[in-house]
Amino acid sequence: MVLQENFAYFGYGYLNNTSSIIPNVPLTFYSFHVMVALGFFFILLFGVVLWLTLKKELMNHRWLLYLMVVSVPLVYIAQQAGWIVAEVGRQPWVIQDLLPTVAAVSRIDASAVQVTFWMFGVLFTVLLIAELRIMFKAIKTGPNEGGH
Amino acid sequence: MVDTTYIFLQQYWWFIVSLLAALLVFLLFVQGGQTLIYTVAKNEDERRLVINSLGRKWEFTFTTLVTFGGAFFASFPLFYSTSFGGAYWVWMAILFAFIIQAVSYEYRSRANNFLGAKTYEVFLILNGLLGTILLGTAVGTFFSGSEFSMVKDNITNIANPVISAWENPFHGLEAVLNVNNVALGLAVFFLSRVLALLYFMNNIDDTNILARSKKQLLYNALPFLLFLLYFLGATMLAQGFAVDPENGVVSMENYKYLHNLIAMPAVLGVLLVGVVLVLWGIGLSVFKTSSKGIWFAGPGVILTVLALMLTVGYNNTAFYPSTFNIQHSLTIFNSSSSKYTLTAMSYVSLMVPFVAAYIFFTWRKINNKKIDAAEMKEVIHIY
Repeated sequence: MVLQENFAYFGYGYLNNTSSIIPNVPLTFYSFHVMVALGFFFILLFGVVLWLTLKKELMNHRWLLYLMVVSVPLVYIAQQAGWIVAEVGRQPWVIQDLLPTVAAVSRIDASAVQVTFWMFGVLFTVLLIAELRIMFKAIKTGPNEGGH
Repeated sequence: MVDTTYIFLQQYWWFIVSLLAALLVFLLFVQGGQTLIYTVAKNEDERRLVINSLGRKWEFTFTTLVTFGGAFFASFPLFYSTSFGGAYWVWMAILFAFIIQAVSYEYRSRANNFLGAKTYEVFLILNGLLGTILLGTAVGTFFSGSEFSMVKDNITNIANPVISAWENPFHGLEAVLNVNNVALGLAVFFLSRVLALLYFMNNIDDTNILARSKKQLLYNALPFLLFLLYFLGATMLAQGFAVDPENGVVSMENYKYLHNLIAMPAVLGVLLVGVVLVLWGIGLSVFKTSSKGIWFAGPGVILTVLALMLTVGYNNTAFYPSTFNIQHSLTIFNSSSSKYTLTAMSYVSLMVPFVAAYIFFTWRKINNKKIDAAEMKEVIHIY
C-alpha cells in the first residue's frame, strides 16, 4: 500500500543525499553548447557550400574546400558531445524518478566487463587501422572514370 | 479482474517476436553460405561470385537480427535483463561473431587491405559457424532451461537491487554441455548451409558452382534432418515447464511441448506444413536439379521455426525456464513490458506491412537476374 502510494518516487529510496540527484552540470552545459554551436556551424557551412555549388563556383574557393575537410572530425566531436549531454545529463536516472543507474547494474564481475572492454578496444583499433589504410588508398587513387 | 487486453497484447508480441525469429533463421542462409566459401568455390573468380551473392543480402540478416533482439527487449524486458546480463559470455561471443562479419564484406577486396582477403574470408567463416551454432544453442535453452534466479522483490533491496542473477560462473557457456541445446545449434548450422546451397542454385549463374551446390545439398541436408529430428524427438518426450494460469505456479509436466502442439492444432498444422515444404524444397533441388527449391524451403523454414517458438511460449508455458528454481522461470505474463508500452508498440507495429513491402521490393530489385562472372567485371561496387 505504502509502495503503491509512493511508487512515482520509488527511485529516490536508493539515493543517500540530495547532491546525488544533480548531474555534473558544467560537463553537461559545455557539451550541449559545443554540440549546438557545431550544429549551427554545419548548417551555415552546408548553406554556403550549396549556394556556391548552385553557382558552380565551389572549386574557386580553396579555403572553403580546406574548411570542409577540417570540419569532418568536428562531426564526431558534435556527436560525442551530444552523447555526453544525454548520458551525463540523465544521471542519476535510468528511468526518471523510478530507477537510478546504481540500481540498474547487472550482477556480473567487473573483471568480465573489463575483459570485454579490452576485447572491443583491440578489435576496433585493428579495424580502424584497416579502415584508414583502405580509405587513404582510395583517396589517393581518386575517383574512377565512371565518376563514382 | 483479468485484463484481457493486456493478455492479448502479451500474446500478440510473443507472436511478433516468434515471427522475427523465424525470419532470422531463414536469413541465416547468409551465414551458412559463408561457411561454404571454400567448398562451392575453388578459385578467386568463383569465390567472388559466391561472396557477392551473399554480400548483397548480409544486411538483411543483420537488420533482422537487430530487429528481433530489439523487439524481444522492448516487449519482454525481463528476458533481456536476465539473459543478456546473465548469459553474458554467450551473447558477447555472438556479438563479436557478427562484428567481424560486417567489416569483412566491405574490406575484403579493397586495395591496401593490410589484413588480406583471406583474413576476412576466415572472419566470414567464423561468423557463419559461431553465429548459427551459438544462436541455436541459446534458443535451445528456451526448452531445456538455464541456471538463473529471478526475484522481483529484490528491487527493494537497497544494498543489492538486482532482480536477475546467473547462478553459475560460466554465464551461459554451460549451454553447450546440454546435448539437446547443441543438437538445435547444429541443426540451425546445417539448415543455414542447406538454405545457402538452395540460394546459390537460384541466384548464381555458374555451372561449376551449381554442380557443387547440388552435391553438397545432400551432405548437409542429412545431418540437418538428423539433428532436427533428434531435437524434436527429445523435446517432445521431455518434461516441460508448465504454468498454472490461476496462480502463476510453475511445475514440471511430462510431454509438455507435445501437449502444447496437441492443444494448439493450428500451430501443429503450421509445423507440419513447414517441415513438408522444407523437405519438398530440398528434394526438388537434389532429385530434379531445380533452382526453385529455395522458394519452398525458405517459407517452410519460416513456418517451422514460427511453430516451434509459439510452442515454447503459448499455452501457459515458461519460455525461459529456470533450472535453479523453476518458480523463477519467465513467462510471457511475468516478463512483459507494461500494458501502456505494449499498446504504444502495437500501434507502431502497424507499420510492419509497409516495411515488409519495402523489403520485398528491394529484394526483387537486387535479385532481378542471376549473378554471373560478367557482372563481376561490370559492377562498380563489388565485395
